Amino acid sequence: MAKRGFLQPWWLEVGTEICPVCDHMYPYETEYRCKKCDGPVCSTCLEPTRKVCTPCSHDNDDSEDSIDIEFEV
Amino acid sequence: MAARAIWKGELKIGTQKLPVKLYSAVEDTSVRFHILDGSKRNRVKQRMVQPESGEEVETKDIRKGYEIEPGKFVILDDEELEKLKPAPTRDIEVSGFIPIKAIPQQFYERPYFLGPDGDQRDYFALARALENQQTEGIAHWVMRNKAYSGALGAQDGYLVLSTLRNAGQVIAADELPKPDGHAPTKKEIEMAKHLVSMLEGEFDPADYKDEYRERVLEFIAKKAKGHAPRLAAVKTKRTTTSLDSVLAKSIAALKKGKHAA
Amino acid sequence: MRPFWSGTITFGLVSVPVNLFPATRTTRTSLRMLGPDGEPLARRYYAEKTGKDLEAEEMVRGYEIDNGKFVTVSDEELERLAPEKTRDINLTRFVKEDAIPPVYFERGYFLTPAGNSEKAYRLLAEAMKERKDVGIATFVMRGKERVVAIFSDHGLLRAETMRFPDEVRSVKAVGLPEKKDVPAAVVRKFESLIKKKAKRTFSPEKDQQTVELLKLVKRKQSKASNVVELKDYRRDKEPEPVDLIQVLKRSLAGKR
Repeated sequence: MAKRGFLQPWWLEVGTEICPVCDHMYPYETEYRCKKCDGPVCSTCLEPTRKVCTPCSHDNDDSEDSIDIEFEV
Repeated sequence: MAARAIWKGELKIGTQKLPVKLYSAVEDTSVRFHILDGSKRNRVKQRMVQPESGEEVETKDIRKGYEIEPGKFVILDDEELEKLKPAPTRDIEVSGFIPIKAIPQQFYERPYFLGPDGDQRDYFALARALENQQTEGIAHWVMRNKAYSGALGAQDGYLVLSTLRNAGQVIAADELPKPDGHAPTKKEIEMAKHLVSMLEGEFDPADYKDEYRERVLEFIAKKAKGHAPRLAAVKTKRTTTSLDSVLAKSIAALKKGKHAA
Repeated sequence: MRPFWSGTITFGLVSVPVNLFPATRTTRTSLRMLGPDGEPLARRYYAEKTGKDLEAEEMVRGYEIDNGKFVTVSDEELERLAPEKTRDINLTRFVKEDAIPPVYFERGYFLTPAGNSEKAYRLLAEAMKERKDVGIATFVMRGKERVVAIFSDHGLLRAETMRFPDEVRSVKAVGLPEKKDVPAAVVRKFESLIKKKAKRTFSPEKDQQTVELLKLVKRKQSKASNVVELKDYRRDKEPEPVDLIQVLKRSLAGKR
């Protein structure tokens, strides 16, 4: 929560999009796309090194054979 | 280096089945920032707290509710939420075909390339058929636990699947009132049309490059070495003159530019 | 809701101050996160090392240069790096609407007149409509350079952001196999399927998952199943959900 009188920067606003991983709202322009599944993810749910979303980060197999039919959350 | 497929599916058109792989057709090149704690410069973390006490509530104790009235919530448990997810399947059902221009541009969301997964003959035949008929297929599939609808089209002989926005997502201009204020005069409209026509040209994507991104990266590189350049403040000067004279001056300036070129 | 962004469309010497609002919204409903007693929870950012909550003014944005090391970049620095583009939407060319392949379009924003620009705004919208043109413009918004196609749509200006050419992958980059010739009979097989399933028009679809969620909520509500009612609930403390259409209507009526 911001102190009164301090205008929140746009990247801390509630935003218009809902993160499918954490269910929080975030501004569209801070959205990341997971390198594995191309799904939208908010910046806090992005695993920074591999740039994947939290569920995809649990799968260490990068070959195409591991492409899951399900998206485990 | 070839891209890795993000998903595998099977196109189903009537009795025809065609296994395909999905590839992202879009590459994000933006300069990406993380939110940091100002003093320590570490990435911030987030947690849910009870607003009064400030105490953290762990994820396993968090309940999810839909607010039906202010202060009144219907709690949905994990099992119920799980049941709402669509059943996983690899099918991409194509239920119908519509003419290419039938879908308004605002509905196109994100494009994917489809590549053949095995059989190539049917793949290229379908692309050719779509091009010949100048149509797009309406497709439905489930991916990432979400139900998608999309447009299946052909581009230069290859298949492209674009996700489509749903009805509630697009705000149509005709739902909104037109702006108030004075209407422009006929003369002003003619002059504006003239100005617009002088600026008409071809659309060539190669004309547009993201130079700003380079500037930002350069600035960051310098800052990282401790040589942050001083940046001038942004000034905007706006003079108000009559619309007529501004239109006339613009047209004159363009004509002069054309003669000089 | 304050405007997303404000600036001025410039074409030739004409200036049209405008406000920008999103033209798309999510249909997914965000569920409230509640604590064990059903009390709505708040999200807080905190520093991992100290465990302390962080106020808005204590947070900055940074760019990762080495593993774990960041260079901070402020919004003001980002603005100063593009002085001529940060408040001006430079309209430099007009093209025919169908000249732009849909793959380039990303997201739409409505432009509404700001200041006293109604006349100039309507003028631009009318001129583009009569010429059947869309305007191509560039500007910098939220730290990113954007190319937009500005459409004249029912008297309003709608800007669709476009992807830069290097953001759209080529078939070669993706690694798709070389095109093959196919027997005409196979093509015909698909063409007859297409003709059989031909439809004339496009009907946008409902967000079925949200429809199902709302049905479930209604069922549970009628059975009074797991409904929590809080006494002393103060709505004023919570952020109001934004009704984008109301915000747009107010902006177009000239009210702030």
